[in-house]
Amino acid sequence: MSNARQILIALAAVIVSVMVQTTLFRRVEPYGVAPDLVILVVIGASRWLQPEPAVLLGFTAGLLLDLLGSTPLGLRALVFTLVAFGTLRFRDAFEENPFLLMGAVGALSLVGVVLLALIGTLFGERTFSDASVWRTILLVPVYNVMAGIVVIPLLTRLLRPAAIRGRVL
Amino acid sequence: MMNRRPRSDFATQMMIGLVIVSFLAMTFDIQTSGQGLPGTLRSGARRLFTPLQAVAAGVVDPVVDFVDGAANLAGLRDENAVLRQTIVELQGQLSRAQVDAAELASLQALLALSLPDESLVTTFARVIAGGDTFDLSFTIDKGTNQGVLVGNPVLDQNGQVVGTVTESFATTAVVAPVVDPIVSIPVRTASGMTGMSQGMGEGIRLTFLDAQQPVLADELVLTAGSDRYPPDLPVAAITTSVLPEAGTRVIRVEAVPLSELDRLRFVVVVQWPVAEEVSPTQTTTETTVPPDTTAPADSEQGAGDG
Repeated sequence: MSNARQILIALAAVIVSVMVQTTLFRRVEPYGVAPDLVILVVIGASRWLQPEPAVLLGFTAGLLLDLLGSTPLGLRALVFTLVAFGTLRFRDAFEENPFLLMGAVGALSLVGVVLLALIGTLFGERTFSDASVWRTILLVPVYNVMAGIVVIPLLTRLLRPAAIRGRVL
Repeated sequence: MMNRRPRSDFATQMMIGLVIVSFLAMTFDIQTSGQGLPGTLRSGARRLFTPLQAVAAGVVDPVVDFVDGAANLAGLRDENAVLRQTIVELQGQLSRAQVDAAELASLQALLALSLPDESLVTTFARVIAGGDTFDLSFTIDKGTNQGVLVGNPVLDQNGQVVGTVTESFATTAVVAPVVDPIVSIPVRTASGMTGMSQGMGEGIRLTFLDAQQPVLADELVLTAGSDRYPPDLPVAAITTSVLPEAGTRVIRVEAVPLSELDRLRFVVVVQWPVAEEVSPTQTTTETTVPPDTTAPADSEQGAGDG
């Protein structure tokens, strides 16, 4: 698979995830919290993209959510860039073991949500005034791991290089 | 594996660059209060993605309503194994009918909505999208073209306060609900005590600074009337009876919003204050939140209400 095709597919996946996040997960919120599908897609896609496109994909996904949301422009772009970079740094360590991979999805989601809360608070978002902030911080990674069971293999199928076609995760 | 996907120092430099760009964008966005270039970018992105979101919501909402309805009726299937298949089919039909009926009832209620001040100009709108993690706001399908401006109060079909418009674009607007920490509203109890409501994420915190009597559980809280909200609109119900704090006249108590914020499909935007001229061509760069004279000092950031 060519790099350009990989990038286009990853961008399409990000746009679809933003649509699902802002429509489906507005209505489906078990215990008041929804998975952060966009972070999940950034993690799943960054595993297979070259380093520079992966970092740019994280930034683009975050910027898109910033533009469609009401939080400061750049907050999610910053956090998703860091999540994509974190995925790049550690992907070689966890990709051989499915359990490690799902653990990494949860850990990176946790880092992303915590950074969103912390940096958002620094920029006046009052995230910690939200009584449900801790529940959100705890449940989003759990939900992302559960959603990752479907999303990660799907992204692997769409983005994996032809040389390793046999892999599922 | 390392040979297949070598790490790049350029990626690190790019990451650092993008982090700096993000910080600058946040600072610029906050300094310009979402106007100027950030407002233009947001408006453009919404113009591009709102049709997609509306289509997605049109697909997702009926499916979720259908699943909700089916899940609520699932217990019936255990009552009669022989009729299970029939029941499932009936459940499907019933769920679809319930969805239609609920939507019809919402629209009829909106049409029949009677506000305390009947001279107020209202605009009906459909909720088309929500925020993501930590973003409690949602998007409606009406904007400045329909007279929806920043600061306008938003009500549900029962006339109960939903929140306030924090951003307005040509054909869409963003609404912060009453439970959003950026939203505070001057309120009064049914007995006449005045105070402020402040969103807490899930519920609302009420503060009465000159309480001369206790507040009672289930007591209704209404808007007190201000440059942001018309008076006498129901906001919330107090959860517990509370006496003034010892030696003071201060009461702090929690309340739950009367409007079912997670089930909103349609809302009413009230053009308030009525004296404000509404230009159909006004864009987000021309709309601003009026200066807040009643909100606490720490609510000045962003497009908070007061």
